Amino acid sequence: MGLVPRELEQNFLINDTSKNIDDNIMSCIECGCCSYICPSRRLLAETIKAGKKKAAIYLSHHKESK
Amino acid sequence: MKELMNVTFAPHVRSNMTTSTIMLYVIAALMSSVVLSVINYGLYGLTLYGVFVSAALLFEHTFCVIQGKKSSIKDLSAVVTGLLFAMTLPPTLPLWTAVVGVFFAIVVGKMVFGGIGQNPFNPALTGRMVLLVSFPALMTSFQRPVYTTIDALSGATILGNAKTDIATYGYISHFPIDINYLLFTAGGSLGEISLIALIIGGLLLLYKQIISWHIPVTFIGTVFIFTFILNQIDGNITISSFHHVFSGGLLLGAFFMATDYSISPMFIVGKIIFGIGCGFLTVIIRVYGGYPEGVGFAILIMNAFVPMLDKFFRPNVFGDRDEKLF
Repeated sequence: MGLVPRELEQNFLINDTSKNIDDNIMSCIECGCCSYICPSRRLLAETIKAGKKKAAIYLSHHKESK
Repeated sequence: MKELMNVTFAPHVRSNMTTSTIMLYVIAALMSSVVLSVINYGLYGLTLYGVFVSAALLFEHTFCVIQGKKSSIKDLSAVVTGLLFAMTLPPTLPLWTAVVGVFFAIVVGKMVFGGIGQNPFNPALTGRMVLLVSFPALMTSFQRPVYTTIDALSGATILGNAKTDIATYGYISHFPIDINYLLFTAGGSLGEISLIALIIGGLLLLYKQIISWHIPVTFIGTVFIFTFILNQIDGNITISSFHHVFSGGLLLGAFFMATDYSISPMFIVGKIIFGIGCGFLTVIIRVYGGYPEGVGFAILIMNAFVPMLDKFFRPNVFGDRDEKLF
């Protein structure tokens, strides 16, 4: 898929939604492979899911302001 | 009424591979080298390993306690760091120097950055370089192993011998290449004693997919090709490509250190460039630098480029029509 789950998670945690959009967070299909394989048991898929919701709100606000 | 079900997002099952499982595989891969080095260097070798590992665990645990965090020693990363660090050092190193080195490796090299996964540089090599710069005499006094297949060696290591030969005579003594060399080398650091043991350990990591082949193959391949070219130009510039590959810490560095997850690139093109850079710098330092061994410095220098490699060599996201450079 070409996504970097760790970066998407970190961008969400530091509240950098615009960077998450640049990193194609909306392309995530929430397959859960990242959470499945992560040896540190990070909640990647869950965090990215929340990040996508934030990104969707961000994008809708930007559309409205245009 | 208490909660009957705990509803969470998918996935609801996880892989069996945890951080400590990965570390156990690495420890298992190193065990053959550890055992052979203890056989060769005796009880002091075993003591060194014990001191390194114990000090690493103690420093990591203490730092976690001071920070008020849960101790991270259960993930066994400190054990791996301690073992790898011990394997890069001469078997004659005093114990107090070992403890100083482990402090820099664990606390300065890893914990101050936030612990495992946050460090930008390899912790074992960080500690090694601090010791090399601070105590050069202690770090370069090697001991010839009990079992060695190379008798006509004036120094303790082939790389050191090559440096001395060029400085003194202007030419290099060439050593025979045979299968016995792979079993027990001419000496060097604690972990370099048996190349076959290191190769077996590296193959175990590849088989279990703990590491990918890109970095070790490109690292070792670059060293081989570059030294081959140099030898074609002038046979007295350096030792043979075979001896370059099978001397010093190249196999240890290529399989166990350059492939550390947090200090190596994530993507394939970045890994290949990282491996080539490490190999190139290793040869430059070994042939033209002041030190006989360049693997540690090469890996640390390339560690600094990893964020850039990850940024510029990120694959395009599937379906993304964004035109990126690579």
